[in-house]
Amino acid sequence: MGMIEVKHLSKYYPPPRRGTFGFTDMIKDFRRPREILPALVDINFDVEEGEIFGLLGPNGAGKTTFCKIMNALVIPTSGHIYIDGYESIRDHEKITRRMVTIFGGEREMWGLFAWRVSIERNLRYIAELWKVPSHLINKRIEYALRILDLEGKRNEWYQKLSAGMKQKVHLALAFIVQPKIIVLDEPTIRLDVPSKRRVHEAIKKELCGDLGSTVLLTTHDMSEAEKLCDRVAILNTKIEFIDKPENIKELSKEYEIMELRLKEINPEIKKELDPFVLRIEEIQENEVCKVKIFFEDKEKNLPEILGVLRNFTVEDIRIRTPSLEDAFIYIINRGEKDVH
Amino acid sequence: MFTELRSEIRVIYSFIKMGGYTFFSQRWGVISQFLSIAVNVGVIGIFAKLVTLNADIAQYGTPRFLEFFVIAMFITNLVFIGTGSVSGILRGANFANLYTTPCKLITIFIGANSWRIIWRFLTSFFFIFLAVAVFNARIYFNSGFVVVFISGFILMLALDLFAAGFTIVTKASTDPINWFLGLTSQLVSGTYFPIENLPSWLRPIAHLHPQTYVNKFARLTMGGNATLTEVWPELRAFILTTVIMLGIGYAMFIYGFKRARISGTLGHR
Repeated sequence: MGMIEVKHLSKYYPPPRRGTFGFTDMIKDFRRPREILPALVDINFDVEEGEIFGLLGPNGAGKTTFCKIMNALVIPTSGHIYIDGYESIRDHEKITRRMVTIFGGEREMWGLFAWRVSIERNLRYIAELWKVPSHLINKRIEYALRILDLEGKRNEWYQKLSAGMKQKVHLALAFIVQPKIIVLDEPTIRLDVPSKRRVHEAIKKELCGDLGSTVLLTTHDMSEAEKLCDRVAILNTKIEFIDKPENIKELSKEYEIMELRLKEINPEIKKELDPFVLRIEEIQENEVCKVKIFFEDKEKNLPEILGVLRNFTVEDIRIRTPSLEDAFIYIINRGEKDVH
Repeated sequence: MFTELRSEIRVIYSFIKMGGYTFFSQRWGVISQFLSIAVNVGVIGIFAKLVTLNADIAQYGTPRFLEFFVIAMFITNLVFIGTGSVSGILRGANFANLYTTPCKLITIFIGANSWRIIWRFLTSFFFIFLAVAVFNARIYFNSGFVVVFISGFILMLALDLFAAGFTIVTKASTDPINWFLGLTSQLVSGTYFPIENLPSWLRPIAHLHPQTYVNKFARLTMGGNATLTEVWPELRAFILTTVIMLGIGYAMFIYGFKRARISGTLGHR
């Protein structure tokens, strides 16, 4: 039995009403047929005890809805999530003793912390909210402060900390409560490189290694998923792919990536390349125009692509092996290309 | 069960401590609150001495305007603790976080309001103390007052439960029930003058407003020293209304809470 089991989970939301600009609009809006919006469609997967499982997906893929269903904040349309054998909606109270969710968005966690109170007092309050036994509270606060390099900040007001520091304080919740399951939503989104490295180490070594917690990580950061996760699922309303990070990268060996730097992006270039490529992505960085070309069958298509490029001013060309991020984009957009 | 109750009380105590830390971190805020109460009492006392009402206020057990006015201010302050105690928490962004803790829903609502309740009690009794000490107001605290306060508070809480359910179902950015209560509480409920002095077309609203009855019973018990037995014949209808409203408010809250979890709007601002 997995620590987290997801069985045929679907969630359809009633659509939000459109913005109305006057009485006629409002009447029209009320009379509009109420179609439904799929947020999650037939999701199935298991997370084993002690595993770090990554949930990757673009914005609007359903990651937040999934976390909210785990915390009984949203009732699914059908299906269930079982957490340590308990059903997420029915047994919410039992689950709260076994699971902690740390939202990475700065604003999401603000309410839990008092702004004009020291970090140490805030952490004590958190420990008491999560009903940590009194005799363990001091020990765990010290442990969390040490692991997250926050010892020097213990007497500072929460409001005086930088966004990155605040995020570390939010993470301390996991080390203080020490639950069986930890849900981390973008845990390092605002951290600098050394802090990020320290947090990754703490998740891998302390949370999963020493404390034996199971971690469900939602992230956009592919390198983070690659570094931390034992398995990842790519979610885009439905599960697109689920495997070890290295196997997802393996999938992307089916194609190549060419990166071009151009003086300006000519619409013609896309049109002429289209028969030989899987997908073209335009990236505008400062004043530099970049184009990322995904293509397969290198021997056949590469000469054709180079032939097309001869007619345009290209400043730089680079062919590289796809990263996990490229694999993620490829998988997410696979459906779109199939339509072509 | 006792262990569970003890752990919930411990959580409420944590909420109180945090409320206190936050509150006393703003030193000028604390001082200015006490100063404003002192100024309020001064103004009310002078106002009460200057004003003569052409109305029978003795029927409320308060022959002097000072007690008539001070008691209404005091009881309004206390029973209005219930207003916003559920709907305000539910609309706040913090609710989603608190719901993920192992605390019971009732502990979350009591805890999140605990500091506000304690502070409101402290300031209200400080207000009454000043009125008695400076202007020699004659105030009584008997069992009748306790029952009036509790039933008034529960009625406001019931209306707030209804408002909470209503706002999370309709996703309304304003809360029409508490807005109406707040707007009309001092105007039509007889805080400044008896409702008999209102124009005839406003009197039905006064009779519908719960604050009217809270003011009346509070004046009779606190000002006229009427016992519970003396006010009971009239008070029981008010208590019955409170019990019915509590049932309706609770049902609306449960319905709204479930609807919000289906539409995914719980904890949305």
